[in-house]
Amino acid sequence: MLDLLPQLGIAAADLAAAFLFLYGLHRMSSPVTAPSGIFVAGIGMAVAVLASFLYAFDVGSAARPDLIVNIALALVALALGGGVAWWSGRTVAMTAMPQMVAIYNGMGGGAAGAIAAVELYGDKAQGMTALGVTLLGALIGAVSLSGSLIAWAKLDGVINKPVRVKGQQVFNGLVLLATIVVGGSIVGAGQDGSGLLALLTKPGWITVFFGCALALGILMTLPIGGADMPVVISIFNAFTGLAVGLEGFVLQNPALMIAGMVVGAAGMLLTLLMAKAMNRSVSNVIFTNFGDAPKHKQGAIKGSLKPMAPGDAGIAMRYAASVIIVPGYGLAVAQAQGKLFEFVKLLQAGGVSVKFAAPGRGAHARPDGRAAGRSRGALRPDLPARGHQRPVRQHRHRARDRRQRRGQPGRAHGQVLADLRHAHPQRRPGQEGLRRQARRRQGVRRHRQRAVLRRQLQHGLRRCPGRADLDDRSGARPRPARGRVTFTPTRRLS
Amino acid sequence: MTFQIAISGFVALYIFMLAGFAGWVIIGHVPAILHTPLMSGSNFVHGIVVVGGIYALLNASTLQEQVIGFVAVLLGAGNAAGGYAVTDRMLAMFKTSAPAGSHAAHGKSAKVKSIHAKKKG
Repeated sequence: MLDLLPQLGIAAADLAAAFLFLYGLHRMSSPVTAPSGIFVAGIGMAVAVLASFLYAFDVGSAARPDLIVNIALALVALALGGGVAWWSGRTVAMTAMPQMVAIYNGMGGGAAGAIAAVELYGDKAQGMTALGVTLLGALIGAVSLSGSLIAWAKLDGVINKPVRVKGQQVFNGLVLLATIVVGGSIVGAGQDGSGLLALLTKPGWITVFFGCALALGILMTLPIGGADMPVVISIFNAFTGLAVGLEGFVLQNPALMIAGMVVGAAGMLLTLLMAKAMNRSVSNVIFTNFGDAPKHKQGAIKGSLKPMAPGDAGIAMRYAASVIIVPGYGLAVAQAQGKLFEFVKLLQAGGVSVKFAAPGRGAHARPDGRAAGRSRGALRPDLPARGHQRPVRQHRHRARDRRQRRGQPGRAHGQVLADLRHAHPQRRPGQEGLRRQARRRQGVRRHRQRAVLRRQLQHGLRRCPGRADLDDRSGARPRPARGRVTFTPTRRLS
Repeated sequence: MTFQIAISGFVALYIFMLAGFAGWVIIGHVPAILHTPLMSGSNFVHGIVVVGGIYALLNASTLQEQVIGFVAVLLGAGNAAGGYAVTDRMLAMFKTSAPAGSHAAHGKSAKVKSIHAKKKG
């Protein structure tokens, strides 16, 4: 019974670790619970690593004499590898994170490859299935190791330019083919190496296999540009997961199988999501069509639209420090002001500074201040939607009041020339007195106050019929025909 | 009687299938801002390979196996520890500095909240 306890302990610890990994990853998939998710997964890792030393009770007779040395070696390796990686992970600059992820991922792939190497060189993997799976894991792990190292070098600025040679993809395909052929012949060969080409012994062919796999990883990654590296790292992350899962099968360890396969699948999905978010297809990234892509036809519409799910948009805005909303025509058509109001209230309650790049309203509304392509009044945020909503106005000044180009021609304030507002239509001198009163200087005028005082009208009937359109408000009304007396009310009746 | 786990043939495929499906579903509808932390987090999770490395090293009987096993544990431990450190630092940016209830990304909102609370009181 005492012999069974270590096995039981390892099995229980692996089960717990597998659950904690899944639960931790689940928590990590939401921004609210994410920080605790990594902690949960960390507990799973600690449990699994501690329990793995129980393997010491279950060592085969061949390795028993070296057991003490091996345990010491394992402890030293754990302390050394873990310590250095922990220190570097803690001290590296935030901006250097992606390449650190790449290098740690390469380490994982290398570890999977090394396990496979132990199994292969020691002839521990018996049978076609075990041998084939070990070789597959070794291939993927080795590709992940060398590829991740290249990715790290590119992100870290060690390698600056993508290396592209004509026929590179064909060459990569040949290397892959050679690796598979070597691996297949290792699987097919007899125990003593019979059936292999007599050029090398079996360990020699295994070394060739690893060499080919490592070269493949390097050749695959070298032509890919640095901007695509996040996607590439994600692919290698999935690869490493896959390799770990396969080696877990070889070692008959379900925790490795589950964790590796979960990461393999999650990494693949993440790769697709990342590639989509970057507007690149995965095949474009891998086969490095980057240089070929921008060959558009003459006059074709360039650029691309990045669609965003409502949930993504909401989360992005919730975690932003400042949000500027540009209401469009669709918002007005959909009568969504009420919903927008609630949304802005929620954002403001969360401490997000919300501003409106408000479309045209008031005296200074210019074409550039309106909703896209709409005339003035198409969208008036200050009009109550459905009659009961109050406008959201956190601050008097809108974003466009503060921008750098204020006062320059062609912009919001430049075209309203107070001097000319009361000029005669026929360019004869207009009234002098009002111009003197123009409060043109910033700071004297208040918000939405006109630069020129409104004319005091003593009579309801205008004396100069030609100037009726210039009198009040905006000049949007049709200009009456000259030479006729028109009646104009002094105030708007509506 | 033995507790030895024997996973072979289709049982392994079942485990792979279910685990792969679980991974796919868990990541499912993750928002774009979590792509990098999740990549780093899953990078940490496959650091479990260190367990396999320890197994291989403990069962090593020749010098060659010991050396390769040592490398495996070294690299696996680096994967696990570094992955945790980096992921934890990334996710620390999502941590709230306000008391429970709010989950703001920056300290500013916590400030605003406390001001609001004072006004109410």
